[in-house]
Amino acid sequence: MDNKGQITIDYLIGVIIFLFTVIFIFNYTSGIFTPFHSNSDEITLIADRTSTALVEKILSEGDESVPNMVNKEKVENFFTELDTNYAGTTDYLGLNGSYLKYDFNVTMENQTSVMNMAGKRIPSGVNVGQTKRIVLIKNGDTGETETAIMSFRVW
Amino acid sequence: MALDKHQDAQMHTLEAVMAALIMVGIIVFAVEATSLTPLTSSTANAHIEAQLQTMGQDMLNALSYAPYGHDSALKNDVLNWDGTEYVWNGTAYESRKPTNVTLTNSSIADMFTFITVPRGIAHNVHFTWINEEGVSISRPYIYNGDPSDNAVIISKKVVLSDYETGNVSSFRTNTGIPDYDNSTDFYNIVNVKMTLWRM
Repeated sequence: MDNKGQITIDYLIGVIIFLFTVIFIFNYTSGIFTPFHSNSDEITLIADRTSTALVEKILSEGDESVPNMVNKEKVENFFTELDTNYAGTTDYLGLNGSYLKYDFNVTMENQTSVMNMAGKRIPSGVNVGQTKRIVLIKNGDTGETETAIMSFRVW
Repeated sequence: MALDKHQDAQMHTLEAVMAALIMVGIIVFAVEATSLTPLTSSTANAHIEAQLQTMGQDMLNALSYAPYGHDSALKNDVLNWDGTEYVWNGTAYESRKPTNVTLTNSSIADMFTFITVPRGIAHNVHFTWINEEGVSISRPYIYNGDPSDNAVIISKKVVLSDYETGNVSSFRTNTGIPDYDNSTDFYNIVNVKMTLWRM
C-alpha cells in the first residue's frame, strides 16, 4: 500500500453504481404517485363540454352577439326534465357511455338566491369537475333579462 | 505539498458529492411531489385560467347585450364615465383621486359585486382608445392593484358616435377620449379591457 491517496477501482465502481441508483430512484419515485393524485382532468373537460353544449346550444336564446344568453322557458323546462328524467337527460348530454357513466348536477343562482337546482346529490369523497358560466336569462314574453351563474358539476 | 499525506482525499470528495446529490435530490423530490397550489403552473392551473377566461368573456358578453332600441350596459358605462378611477374599498367602489365618490349606476360594478367579489377574484378594468396621433391610450376605470403573473385579460370593443356622448367637448375634457374623426358622426372606439386574477 502506498501513501499517494489514490482511489481504488473497486471503490469507484461502487460509487458509480450507488450514484446511478440514487438518481434513478429520485427520478422514478417522484412520478410513481401521480396515478393516485386527484385526477379531475377528464371530468373537468366533460363539465366544460356539457356547460358549453347547454348554454350555447340547447338552452340558448340564439343571439349571435351574446352566446351566453339563455331562454328562461327552456331553462325551466331543462331543470324539470333533469329532475324527472335524470337518466334520459344525462344520456342526451352524452354522459352515459358503454364503460363509463358520469353523474351530473346543475345549479342556477342569481344575486339573491338559488333559483334552480337539479340532478344528483354530490357524494362525499369524489373528484368533481366544475365549470361556472355566467348567463343572461331572457324572458321571452317580456323581453327582460337577468344575470345568473350556472354551475355544472360532473363526477 | 502536503496533499499526498492524506490517503482518503478522493474518498472524502466523492462522499461529499454523494451527500450533496442526495440532499439536492430530496429537495427536488419534495418540491415536485408536494407544492401543487392553485397558482402553480400545471394542468390544474391551466383550468383555473380557462375558467377565469370563460367567466370574464361571459360577463362582457352579458354586459354588451343591447335590447332592441337600447344601448348596451357596457356602452352606457363608458358614456357615463367621467374619467375617475375607482377602487374597491370592501363594500363599494370608491374614487381614488378626488373626494371619496362612490361609483353608482354602473353595470360593470354591479356585475363585479355579483360575480367576482364574493369569489375572491381580483379585477381591474381599463378603457383603451386611440388618440388623434394614433397612439393607444389606456386609463383605469376600476383599479385594484397590479395583477399577478397568472392574470387573464378579456376585452370587448365599444363603438361611440358623436350624438351618443351628449356633449362632445365635455366628454372629451372629462375622459380624454378624443373625437377621432370630426367630419363624420363616428366618435371613437373604446376597448374595455378586463383583467382577472386569483389572489
